[in-house]
Amino acid sequence: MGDERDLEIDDLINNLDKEYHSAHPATNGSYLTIQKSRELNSLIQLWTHERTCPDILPYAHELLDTILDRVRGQIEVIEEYTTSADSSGNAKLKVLFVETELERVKFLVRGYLRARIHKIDNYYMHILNNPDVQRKLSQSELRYTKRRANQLKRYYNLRFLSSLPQLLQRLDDTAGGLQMVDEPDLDEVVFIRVLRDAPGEVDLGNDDKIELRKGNIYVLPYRVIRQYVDDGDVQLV
Amino acid sequence: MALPPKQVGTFMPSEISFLAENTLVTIIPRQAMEPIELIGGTIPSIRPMRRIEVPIWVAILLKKQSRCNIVPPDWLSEENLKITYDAEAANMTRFSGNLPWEWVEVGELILGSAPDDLSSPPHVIRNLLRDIREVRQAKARAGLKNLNESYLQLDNVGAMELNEIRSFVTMSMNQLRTMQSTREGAEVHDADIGPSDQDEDDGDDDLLQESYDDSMRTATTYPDSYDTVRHNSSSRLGSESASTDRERSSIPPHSSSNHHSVASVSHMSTQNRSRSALPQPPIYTDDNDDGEDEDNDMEIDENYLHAVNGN
Repeated sequence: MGDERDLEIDDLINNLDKEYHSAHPATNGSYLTIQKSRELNSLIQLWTHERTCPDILPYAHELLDTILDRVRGQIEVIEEYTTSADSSGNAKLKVLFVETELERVKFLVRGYLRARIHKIDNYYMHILNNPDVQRKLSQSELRYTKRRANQLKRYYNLRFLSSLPQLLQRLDDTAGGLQMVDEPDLDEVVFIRVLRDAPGEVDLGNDDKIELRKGNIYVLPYRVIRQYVDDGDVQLV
Repeated sequence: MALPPKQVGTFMPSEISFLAENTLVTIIPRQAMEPIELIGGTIPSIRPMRRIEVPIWVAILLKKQSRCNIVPPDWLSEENLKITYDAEAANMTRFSGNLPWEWVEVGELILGSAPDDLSSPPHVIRNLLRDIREVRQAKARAGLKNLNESYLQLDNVGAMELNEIRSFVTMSMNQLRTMQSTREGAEVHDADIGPSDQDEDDGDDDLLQESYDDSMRTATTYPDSYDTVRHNSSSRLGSESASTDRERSSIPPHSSSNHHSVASVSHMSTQNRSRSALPQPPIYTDDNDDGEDEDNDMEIDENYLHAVNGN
C-alpha cells in the first residue's frame, strides 16, 4: 500500500517537472542543450563568415571536431534504428528528425569546407609563401594546398612553361611591379550586422567615422571592420 | 570549382531561406512526442496543446504530419502588416524597424507550410507581404544612387533583401574603390576634382575641364577602357554638383557629422563625388567616348536627378 502511494507521488512530481519544463521552453534546456545550440549557431556563423569574408579565416578545429563527433553519434542512432525491430510511429518520427537535422548540419560543414577550398584554390601560392597563412589551415587543407601547387606546376611545365625562356618560367614573378601571386584583397567590402554596441568609432579614412550600434547594418571594407569581427562585436552577413 | 559560380561572393536564395529555418517559432502540438537529442540541441518533450518554441524546420516537419499548428509571429498578422506597410510608405528614405531580419523567408515559409494557421486568409497576408516588399525594394533601389566607395548603411534591411543587392553593391563599391585609389595614385590634380570643390556650384565648367584633362593626362598610364570609365565618372561629377540641392551642397563631403542622421540607404554617407558613378554603373565602353557623349551623359543625369528630387 505504502509503496504504491510513494510511486504515485513520484510520478506526480515527475509529471509536474515535465509540465513545468514544457511550459517554459526557455528554461527547458539543460546546460548541454544551450551549449549545443550555441555550437550550432557558431557553425552557422562560421559558414557565413567563410563565404562572405575575402580573407581565409582560421580553421575552427575545436568546433568542427565536436560537431563531427556528434554527426558520427547521430549516424549510429540511425543505424541502430534501422537494425532494430522498432518500427513504431514514434521511433520513425524520431529518426525523421535526426536524419533531417543531420543533413542540415552536414550541409553546413560541407559548405564551410568548400568555401575554404575555394579560397585555397585561388590563393594557394600566397598560402605557401606565408607560414602565417598556413597556420590558419587544417592539416588536410595544407596537404591539399601543397599537392595542388605541385600538380599545377608540373602540369604547366609539361604543357608550355618548359618551352618558354628561362626568364619567364616563374609562377610567382614580381617583375614590373606586378604581383603574379593572388592575395586576398582585404579592402573588399563586406556586409556586416552589429551584434552589440562597440566602443569608439570606426575610422574609415577620409574623415569618415561611424559608430557601431546594435542592429546597425553596414557595407564597408573588410580591413576597417576586421578587428570587430574577430572580437565578435559584429557579424558578417 | 569548389564553389559553384552563383555561390561565390553571395548566397543563393535557397541558402538564405535555409538559414532562416533555424529561427524559432511557437507551435501548438496536437500529439505528444518524446524529447529528441539532436546535434544542435534537443527538441524538448512535446505535449498536446502546450505552446512551445522550436526551430521552423521542426515546426514544418511536424505540421506536415498534422502533429501541430504553427502560431504565426505577431508581425505576420494582417493588422500588423498593414501598420508596417503604412510605416514603410510614410517614409521613403528609411526601412521601418517593424520586421525581423528574416521576415521575407519566414513569411514565405509559414505561408507555404501553414496557410491554414494564419489568422487572416492567406491571400490577404500574401498581398500585404508583396506590397511591403515592393515598397522596400523601391527604397533599396533609390538608396543605391548614393553608393560610394567608403561605406553604406542599411539598417533594418532583411537578410533576403540584403542578399538581393549584395552582388551589385559589392561590385560597384569595389570598383569605385579601385577608381579612387588609382586616382589618388595618379596624383594628378586630385585636389581639383576632390571633395574640397564640391560645395561650389560655379566652377562646373572648370571642373569638367579639369577632370577631362586629368583623364587625358593619365590616359597613358592605364588601358584605354579603364580611362573611359574614369572619364565618364569624372565628367558626371560636374553635372552632379550643378544639380545638387542646396542642403546637400552645403554639407562638406566626407563630413563626419553626416553619420548621425543616417539611418537608411538613401543617406549613406553623402559624398557627391562618388554618387556620380551610380545612375549607370561603370561600363567598359569603347574608347571613342568623345565630348558629345559626355554632354548626353550630363543631360540624362540632370533629368534623372530632377525626377528624383521631384519625388
